[in-house]
Amino acid sequence: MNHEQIHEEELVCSGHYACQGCGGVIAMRHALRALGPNTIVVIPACCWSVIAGPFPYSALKVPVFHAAFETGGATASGVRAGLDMQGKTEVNVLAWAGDGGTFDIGLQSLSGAVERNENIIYACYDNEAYMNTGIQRSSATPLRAWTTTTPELFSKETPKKDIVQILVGHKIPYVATASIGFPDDLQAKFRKAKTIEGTKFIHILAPCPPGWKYSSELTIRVARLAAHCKVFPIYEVFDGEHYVINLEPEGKPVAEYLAMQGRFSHLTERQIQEIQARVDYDWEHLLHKAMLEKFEFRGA
Amino acid sequence: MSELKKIIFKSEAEMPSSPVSRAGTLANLTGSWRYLRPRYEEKLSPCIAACPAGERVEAWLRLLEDERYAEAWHLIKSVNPFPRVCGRVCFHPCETECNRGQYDRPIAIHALERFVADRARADDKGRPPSARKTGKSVGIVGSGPAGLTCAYHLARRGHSVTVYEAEAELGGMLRYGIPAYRLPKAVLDEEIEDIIMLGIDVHTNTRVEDIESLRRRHAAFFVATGFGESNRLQIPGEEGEGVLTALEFLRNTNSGCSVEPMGRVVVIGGGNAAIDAARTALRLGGHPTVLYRRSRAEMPAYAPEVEEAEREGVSVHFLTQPVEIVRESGRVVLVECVLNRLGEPDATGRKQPIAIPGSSSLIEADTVIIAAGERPGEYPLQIGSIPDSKAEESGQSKHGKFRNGIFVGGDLTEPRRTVAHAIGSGRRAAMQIDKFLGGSGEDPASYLDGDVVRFESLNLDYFPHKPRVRLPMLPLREREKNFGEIGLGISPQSAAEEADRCFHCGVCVACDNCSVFCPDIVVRKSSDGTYSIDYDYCKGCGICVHECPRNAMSIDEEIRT
Repeated sequence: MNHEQIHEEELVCSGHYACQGCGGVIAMRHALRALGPNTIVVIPACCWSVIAGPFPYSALKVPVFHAAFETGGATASGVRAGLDMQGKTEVNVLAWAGDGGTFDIGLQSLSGAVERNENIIYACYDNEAYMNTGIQRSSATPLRAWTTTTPELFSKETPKKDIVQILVGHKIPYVATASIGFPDDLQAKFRKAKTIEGTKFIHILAPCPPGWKYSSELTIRVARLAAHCKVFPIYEVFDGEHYVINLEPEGKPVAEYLAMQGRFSHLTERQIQEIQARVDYDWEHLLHKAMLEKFEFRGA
Repeated sequence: MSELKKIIFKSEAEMPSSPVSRAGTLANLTGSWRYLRPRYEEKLSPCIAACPAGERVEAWLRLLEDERYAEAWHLIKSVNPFPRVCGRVCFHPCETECNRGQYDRPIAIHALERFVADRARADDKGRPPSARKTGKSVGIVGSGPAGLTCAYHLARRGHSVTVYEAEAELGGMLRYGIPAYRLPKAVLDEEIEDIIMLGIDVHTNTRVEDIESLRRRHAAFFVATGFGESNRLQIPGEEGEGVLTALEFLRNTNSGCSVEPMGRVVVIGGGNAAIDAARTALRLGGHPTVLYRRSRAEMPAYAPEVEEAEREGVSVHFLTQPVEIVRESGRVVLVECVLNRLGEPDATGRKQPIAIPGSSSLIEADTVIIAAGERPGEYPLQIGSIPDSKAEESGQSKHGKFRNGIFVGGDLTEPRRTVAHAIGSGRRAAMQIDKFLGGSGEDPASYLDGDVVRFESLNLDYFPHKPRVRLPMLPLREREKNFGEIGLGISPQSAAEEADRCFHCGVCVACDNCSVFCPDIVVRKSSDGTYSIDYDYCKGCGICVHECPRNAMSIDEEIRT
């Protein structure tokens, strides 16, 4: 990637309020670079509400609408409608929400917007808990992960909600997963989303050093490993039907991914095996949906 | 920048009616959060550190990748006048140390060196303009790789150089020791010609008996007469007809003397000279057997050469020690041997062979070739140039200055006697002589200091596995009874693909990872392709350092005063 280009098209400003090594900022940088300056960002409550800076400052060089926690989908729909009324159909509307605002609190407004097939891009940068308020579990928190509300002895007993499946169930034109570990792929998906009419949903894995308990320089490594261990496969779904897997995982054991993060340090060997079995099942299921392999499950 | 200013509202009336931003976040200097400080710091690639000749391997590989053949060639030639020779005969310690060897297989550096040098010389003679004459004269005794390298560097610095060679032609061991199937004479001649074209005065068939007699002609001398004498076995029957040393044998063949039909040839020894002699005998129609007193693991010969020799039909007997060479009517007929077992390691770390009593055997032979190692002989001792302890102590190093401007190098001083070591020795001696004669003595290979990049410090996520280039070899049946070169060249496309496998350990190749992954947008790239970090905002997360695939960045604790 050419750096001259990077700085010309850089729409995130230094001096923002993110922690060291924040995956959410890297995600925003690449998303905005792909979408360009003709974009309005709607941010419901999430880390980015803080990262963007306090009044009267803003870390983004495009207009931002800070909105209430549960209103990402609704506010973005409203902004879209307002622009369309003015004939400004070429302006991109990007709803930019964390996992809390997408998986939990904002789910109904998201579902509403999606069901209406609003012409917006909804991106969820997923750090797998309520990090901004102090690492409380969300429905995006993975099985057995530590958070302040799921301490080690009572680590999360349910698996991560499959948000992509929920969106796919709405039969919208474009749903994709992306990762800050693969910025070219991430940018390509946002550029593609720009050209598609209707609702586009992009789920981005954005590792969080303080919340996941790893050293800040490892953010990209953790993100890449998530894809290569099949924990977070990189794929896209068109019209709720057609699956395309964009990255062939190296198929590393999930233990390698878990071992990097303090939030999984309490896991027993047996629990790791359970997680591996779950990951393998989900991956085979995905292959089946992509019709790459005959589906056959011999799991635990 | 206006964005930098802090915005302060003195009253509610000054505030906008709804909360609207008025500026970016540049007023928030997040650099104060930093407790680790990343920086750009290039480090030394292991190939460069390992090259005895001092070549900047990684750098010319990069030029080769971009198909800048002439530039790559000039970069090699700034240090080493023999890239075509080294690409063929060097045992490439660069490849042994190559970090890629721990990932899949090392870069085929020798094949690429040969490719770039063969190609560039064909395209462009490109001789550097000769430097302004200094009027100083240097006499070089011995025209092996060390002597000629020294001559090359001194001539490029404008000194007048005269080379004295006892043999009829220049090249030393390159000509008389290395067989043509490994190094074609035409290739050697052309590289030597390029050196002589710099205006070097050559006296062949001239054995320098007394350096003092040349004093008036030269201000300094470089003595690199090599190891010209062969060790003997000290066994009965080794003197006389039918027995010769590997050096004699190779010299006869390489200088074009007719050699009698060989018959059964027994080569005694386990070094490279033994293997060269056996393979040469094979090509002359002989049936060679190599006897080595230890096992394969202890063999000093370069293992791939041994394997090739065996493929060609040389048989190697290990743990076999000759005790007597038996003659009948003046002709060699038998070599009597005993079998050894291996005992405790000796001072050199190799296991000592111990004869097994009663294990005697007989091997039929028409010719016996002894390859029991070489030594410098009496010659350099006579000219008073063997290093004395004083020179070592006074920091003059092993290429040190000895009495009255006499410098010594090549095999005489190098701990390992290889072509590449001799070339390195010749270059370093040239720099010392240049300094001695009032020049700068600035070494073109002065980048040899610095931390060497270890394999563990690379980020391998960015290097897909790729197979090493296949090196074409002459088929076995085409090697029979001729000295055609065995190793064949590679195509430009294979060369580019192979060079592309290089990790470029420790060197920034402007891949942009540091900038692409920076969460704080603090990496700036200047138009010349170098990066800088804006420490006003860098929070010191360390992602840039960790994601640098080749360890061209470092991170330290932030020290604030």
